[in-house]
Amino acid sequence: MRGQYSEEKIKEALRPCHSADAALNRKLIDYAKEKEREEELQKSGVMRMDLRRRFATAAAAFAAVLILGTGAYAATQYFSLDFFASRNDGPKLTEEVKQMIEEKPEVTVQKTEGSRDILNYEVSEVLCDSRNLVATVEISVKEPDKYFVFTGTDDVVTPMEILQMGIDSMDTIGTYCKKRGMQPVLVDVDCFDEKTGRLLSNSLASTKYTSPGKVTYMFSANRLTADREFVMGLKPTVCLFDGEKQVAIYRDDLLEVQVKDKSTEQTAFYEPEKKEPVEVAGGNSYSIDRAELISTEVGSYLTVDYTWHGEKSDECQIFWTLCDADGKEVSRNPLVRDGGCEWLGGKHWQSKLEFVNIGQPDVIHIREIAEDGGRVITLKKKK
Amino acid sequence: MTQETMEYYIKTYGTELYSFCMFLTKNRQDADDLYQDTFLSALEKGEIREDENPKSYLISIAVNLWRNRTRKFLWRKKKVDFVDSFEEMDFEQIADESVPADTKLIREEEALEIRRQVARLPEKMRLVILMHYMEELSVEEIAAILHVPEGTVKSRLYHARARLKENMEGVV
Repeated sequence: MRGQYSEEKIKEALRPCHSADAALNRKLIDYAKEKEREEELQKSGVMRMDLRRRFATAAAAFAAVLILGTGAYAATQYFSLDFFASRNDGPKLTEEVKQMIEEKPEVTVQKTEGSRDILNYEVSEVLCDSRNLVATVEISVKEPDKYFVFTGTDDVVTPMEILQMGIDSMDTIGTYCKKRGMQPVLVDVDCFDEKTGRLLSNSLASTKYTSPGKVTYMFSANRLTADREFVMGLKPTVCLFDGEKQVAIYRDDLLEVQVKDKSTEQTAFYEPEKKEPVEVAGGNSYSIDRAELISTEVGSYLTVDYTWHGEKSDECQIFWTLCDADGKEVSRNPLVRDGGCEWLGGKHWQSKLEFVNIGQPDVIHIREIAEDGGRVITLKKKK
Repeated sequence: MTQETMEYYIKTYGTELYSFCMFLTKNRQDADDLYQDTFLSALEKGEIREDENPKSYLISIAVNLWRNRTRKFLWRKKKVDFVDSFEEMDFEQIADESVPADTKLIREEEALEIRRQVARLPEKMRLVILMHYMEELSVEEIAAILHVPEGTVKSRLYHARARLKENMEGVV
């Protein structure tokens, strides 16, 4: 078919026609509502009643503390943080880090209106420092003959063999359940800081299906406060399906998890070995103004402030990766997020890198992520 | 940003923003993440200034977030067959009863081909095409969002149009 180019056709073809799922929009509106409420409470200087009780009384006379059971699939297989850390060629956790992991932390359940008693949640492990929080949660169905839990929206239409659930079938989850009179149950869990009401994580780092009735989630979230003890909130959203079609959605009970930050932190400042600006494509250049490295047992965090010289272009936004002197990438950390780059105003930018704990070395090498391969920058620790 | 404001923005700009995210990420799961992160980021930043175009503001957040992800994860990016993704999606078209059925079919085929061609454009060209035609942003607004000169935006639009024209008027 031969087509005739026209502006009108381009515009018509690109007319916005995809909408987000109603559940996703509902979730966003709920967050806005909660944030608004938290801000009002903070402005009036009133802490939420339940938070005040929790901080005041470790024995929790008012709050009902429930240690949640693991349900019928207890301990068939356990996927630990160490397992997730070493996936995709990541390094195993050191003994130092393992000692910091809180196993089965204290959890309080807040009943949510409209929740249904279909799922068990067990927070297995929590690990954090001032920057990141990582946790594993085991989610299992209470009635494995009736319900089938899964995690990704597209999984319900994916052949089960591909999902590596231990079921050798090319049926999708939807079809498999339909044949057996079971109901697929999609779970999505958001993690937030209860004190500020702010979201820590809205996407999963990794999941592993233990069996059709059980899945392990691993979260990785950037922390927004540096409290040594805090409460992490986990809010599950549950969608029920009939075959491959979503038929109901609800918020499950809120889980409030006591978290302790046991990490220690070291800070050092670095400067580029070469003082002159770094030349990049297009006759432009940049100069590194400041580099700060914070290291904890969980990971190392490098913040690089730089000034862009020259014309505005896509290349203003620079990303680096930690590398050796030859430019080869080293020390990826599957438990933390990799960072990003933000515009600070004018010609000033800030790029952040996160990787495994490297301590406070005298020299760091970072390489630009660029189409031309990027330049290796050597940073030396300031005395 | 209040709940009311969030509801208003989702109702007013949600479809445009989500469609933009779909074309950027090329698959629904990543589009969901990007869409969600965009609104959450806007929520964190607070109320939009009165003199600021809300749509332009949301698009700039989405572009920045997406660039953070794709530039950083270049060597880890999942490859999704864009053509398959789009062919599986429902095309929610406004019904036009005055147009004969066979004409509609031709238009749908043509529209699908145009979307394929746009998806195949290099990233820099694709972005300006989406922001200009889908989001109806001006050259000035696009330049501000991308942190590039207006001349660069015009140049990319010119080259993108030329490439689309060449591909569309070739044999399909």
